Amino acid sequence: MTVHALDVPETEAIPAWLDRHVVGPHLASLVAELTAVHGDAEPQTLEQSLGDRLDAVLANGLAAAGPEGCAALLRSPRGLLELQERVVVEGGSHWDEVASSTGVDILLDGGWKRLHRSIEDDRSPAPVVRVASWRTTVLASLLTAAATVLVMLGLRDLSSDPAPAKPSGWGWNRPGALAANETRSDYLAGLADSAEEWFKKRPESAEDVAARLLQFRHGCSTLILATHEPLTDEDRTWLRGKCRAWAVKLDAHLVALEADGDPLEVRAAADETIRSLIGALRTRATTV
Amino acid sequence: MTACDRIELSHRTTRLRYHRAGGVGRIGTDRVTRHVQRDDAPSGELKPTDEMLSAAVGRRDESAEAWGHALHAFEVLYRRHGSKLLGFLAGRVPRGEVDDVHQTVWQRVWQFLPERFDGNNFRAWLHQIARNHVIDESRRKRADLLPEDGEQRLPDEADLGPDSRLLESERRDVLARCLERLREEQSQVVRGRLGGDSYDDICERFGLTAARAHKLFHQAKEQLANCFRESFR
Repeated sequence: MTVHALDVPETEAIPAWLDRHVVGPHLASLVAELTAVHGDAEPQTLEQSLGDRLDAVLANGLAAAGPEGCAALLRSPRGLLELQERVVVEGGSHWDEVASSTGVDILLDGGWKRLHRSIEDDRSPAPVVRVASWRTTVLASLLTAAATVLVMLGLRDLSSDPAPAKPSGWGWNRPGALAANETRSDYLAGLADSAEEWFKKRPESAEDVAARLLQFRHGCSTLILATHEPLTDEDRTWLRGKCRAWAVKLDAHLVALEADGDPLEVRAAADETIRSLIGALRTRATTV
Repeated sequence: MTACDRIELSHRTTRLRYHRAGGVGRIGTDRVTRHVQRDDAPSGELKPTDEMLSAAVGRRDESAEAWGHALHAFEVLYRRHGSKLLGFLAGRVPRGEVDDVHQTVWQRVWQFLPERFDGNNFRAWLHQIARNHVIDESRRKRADLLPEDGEQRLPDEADLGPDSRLLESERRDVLARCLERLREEQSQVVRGRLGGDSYDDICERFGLTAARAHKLFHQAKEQLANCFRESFR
């Protein structure tokens, strides 16, 4: 768990540091930490903290606030959340440049793929199931899973080290996890139970968290490629679409880990993703 | 030729696959190469405004080619505004839901743009969609937690403001407890540094040497980081 406030730089670098937080994903955490340090007895609004420099800040960033303005925001940090909202609506190109420097583009890449697919799915008529197209889907999924493993681990020679993504026999890869002789609702509830196995081990190092994530991610490929005999066609379409979306999220967690993310924070984020998918499976199991 | 047709760039290309309109049995995808203009293209090159791009999205149903232009324009809008929107959402919804909420917001933008966007200030409209969705989700969750006597208090607009959406209260409380364990000297230096004071200011105020102030802050950082990490195990 990272305490973002403790990364505060020397005074002259504080404006740029705060700029990155205003457009970044950790601003709420930073505000909470600064509130712990300074208390919340007499909060100032954004306008009170910046005065007549607010327009300049919206155009050019917090360098325009001067040391006094930045200090006021650090001591009354809720103004930073207000600034974040104002930047979304009114911020100048300076803030676009800062946002693009935070590395969030890779998340947007995955997000765009999902969005593009959902737009096309909503537009297209229901697909006719053909063997040829199924094979194309299988091949694409296998290539995607293989590429993910190679990129994330930087493998050069698969024969030299054991690949952490090999089926480990837990979760959806556990023998019998996809039993064909169950009812529809029991099958979906069983998938949710299998996903719960994620929480049986709590890895702490980056390597162990990555290995656990890759194993779970492999389980997504297993679900995408399986025939799911107890399910209706509509259930299968729903499940495969959801698996692809969950796979994108899991890939994003791996990317975060590879980018020197805190392993416990990444694990916590993965916990949320997996709780969400378990909830979706259990809800689907109870719908008629 | 539309504004999007004139978009050309040198820095980045994106291959877009899209399906031509047709029923089942169509030939398949046509791979069409389009060029997505990055917003940092050299000056002098045409940079479409949000309003130009949203106009292209609004015309998507006119033809198959218009559909392709619309997707292309929508991707530009998404990449232009997506990162800041993600940051905004990250401070207002639980961490595990940020991506889903972000996706839903953009799906709504695509869905409602042709009918409900008046062509002015796309960013404000996008922000309003995001705010409304976060408020709706908050209300839905609160409704799930209603007491048995059925008493209801619906959140109002103020619930989206900073005072009510601080989802990191546990982080704040843990850090506050860790700060209480610091020695007074350490605590003074931490409050100074995290209040924007320079080391010179801190040294003058508390009668410290620069070396002493640096050492105190370094020690305090280590102590706080360890205390924080232990508290969340």
